[in-house]
Amino acid sequence: MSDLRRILLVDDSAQDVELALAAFEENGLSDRVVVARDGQEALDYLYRSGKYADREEELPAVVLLDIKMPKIDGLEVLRRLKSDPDMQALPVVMLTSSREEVDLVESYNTGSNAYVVKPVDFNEFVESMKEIGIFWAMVNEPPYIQG
Amino acid sequence: MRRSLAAALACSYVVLLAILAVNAAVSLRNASDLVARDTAMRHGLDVELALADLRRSLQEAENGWRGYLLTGDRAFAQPGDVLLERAQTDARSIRKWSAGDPVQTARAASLVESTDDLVRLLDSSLSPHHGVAPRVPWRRALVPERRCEDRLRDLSAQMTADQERSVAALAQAADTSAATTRQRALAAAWCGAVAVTAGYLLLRALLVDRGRAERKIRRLNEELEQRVIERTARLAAANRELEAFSYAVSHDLRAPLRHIAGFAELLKKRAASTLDGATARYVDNIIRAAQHAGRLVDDVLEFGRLGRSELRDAEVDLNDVVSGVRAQLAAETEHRDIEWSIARLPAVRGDATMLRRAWQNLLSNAVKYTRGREHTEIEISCRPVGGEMIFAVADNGAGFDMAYADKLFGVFERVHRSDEFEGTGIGLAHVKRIMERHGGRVWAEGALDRGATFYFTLPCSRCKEIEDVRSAAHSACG
Repeated sequence: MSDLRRILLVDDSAQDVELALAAFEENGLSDRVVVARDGQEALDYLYRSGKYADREEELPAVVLLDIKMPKIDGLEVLRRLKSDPDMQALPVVMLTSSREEVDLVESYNTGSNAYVVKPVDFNEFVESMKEIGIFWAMVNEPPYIQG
Repeated sequence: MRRSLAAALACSYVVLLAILAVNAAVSLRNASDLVARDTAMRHGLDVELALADLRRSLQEAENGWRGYLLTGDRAFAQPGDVLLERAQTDARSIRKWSAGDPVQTARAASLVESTDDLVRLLDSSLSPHHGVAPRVPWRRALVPERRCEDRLRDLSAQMTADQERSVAALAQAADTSAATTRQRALAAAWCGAVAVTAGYLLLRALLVDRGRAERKIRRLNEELEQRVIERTARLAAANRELEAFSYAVSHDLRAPLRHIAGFAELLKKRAASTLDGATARYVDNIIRAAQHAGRLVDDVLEFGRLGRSELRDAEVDLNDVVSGVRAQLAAETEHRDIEWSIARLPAVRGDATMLRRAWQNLLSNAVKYTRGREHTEIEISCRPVGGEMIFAVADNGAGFDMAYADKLFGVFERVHRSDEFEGTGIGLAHVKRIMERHGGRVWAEGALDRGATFYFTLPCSRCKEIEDVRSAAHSACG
């Protein structure tokens, strides 16, 4: 379909957002990226509530979710999405600094589709974002969600 | 305190036993004395009776003879014979019964002798010559007989008197003996009672003491348990703190490092044209520093995690592990001339992740420190020695000064400069920790610029035998 499949990036850190966008830009994926600055915004976007009440476009092809965020953290967003039968098929990739086992276990147990640790090396990061973006937004067939 | 109580208790028991033993001995002796005395008394009475009987016999015999002498009638004499026989028997009995007393024995012997003499004399004097009674005037007759009779009578009287005296003495002795026995029995009973009471008191004291000691022990035990619980709780809390710390570090320390590295890269890209050599180098340094810090953080976190984690034992084929690690190092080894000599390694029981990490560190070190060589040789071997399997990773690289051999395995310790060889100095510390967790040891040998060999051991109990080293393993690992 012609409608550009989007990537929802959820991260509270301005620097991380900037780096991620720069990474996506290097791969020509930056116009697909929608940014939410915390868990609440992410949910607002997905559920067409709050400031995204008038969201026109389709649901994103994938949600790149940071874990450590204020108010509603990444794991809570994940839990809410995966416990909602309407949203649970939506692909979610945890994109985070930490490789702590507790986060890893919790994420997968709650139903995340993948868990990616952001590397310190920027070039590696660029490479990862390219692979993730291309896979989820282009290669993968998104689930059919009435959104 | 307890020892003296126990000793006193033992003493009182010994005393009690002694009293009982002495009492028993004395009682037994008294009993046998009693029996002896009783027998003696009975004999004494028998002797008295016999003597009386003897006298009577003699008297009746004498009467008989008198009659015979007066009348010449044999019939008077006859009973006399029987009586004399009785007298002889009596005399002999008396002798028998007087066996105990030497004086009486002597007298009894005389008695027997005299009785026999009398019988003989009478026999010869009075026996009829062919049925004719001798006509002897009795006053003048039987003088020797009469003398014998007198002797007999005296002896008899003496013996009787003696006998009465001795019987009386025996009776007296019996009385005193009874009195003494009663006294002794009472005394023994008293002592026994005292000893038993003493024993009881001591025993009670001992038990009280023991009870006190037991309560003390129980209280100490409870205190100890309490302390253990507290300490465990404190340890658990410390552990949790460490976990929380590690978690925070994981998130919060990595992020800024990523930002530094990321923006520096972007800066380099954006301003590539305007950056001169030095400036570009500065930016590179920033990037490298940030990346190094990132690796340090990773290493420290893993080191901490390793310390806290449980060993998850599984069967690990070290050949697979080594192949896997080599594949991981492919990027670095691709364009290099590396000769690998890898012996067939055993399967071991251990934590797969940890063992893989250890091999990763060892092999990446080997690859790294041989970078300066045109032709790199890396040899992996193992051999069983004693109760252990010794593994070795040998390279022909930069080596190290043996003087710093013990620093090698320290945390963040390095024996090379970072501009010579990069690294965080934690790789070997990891290996050491991992092997020690598995019950092994590590050490290294090397020489500057002549390569290094890193050894680690695993106990044979963790190793399974393999074909190539089977015979050797049999003899050493048994």
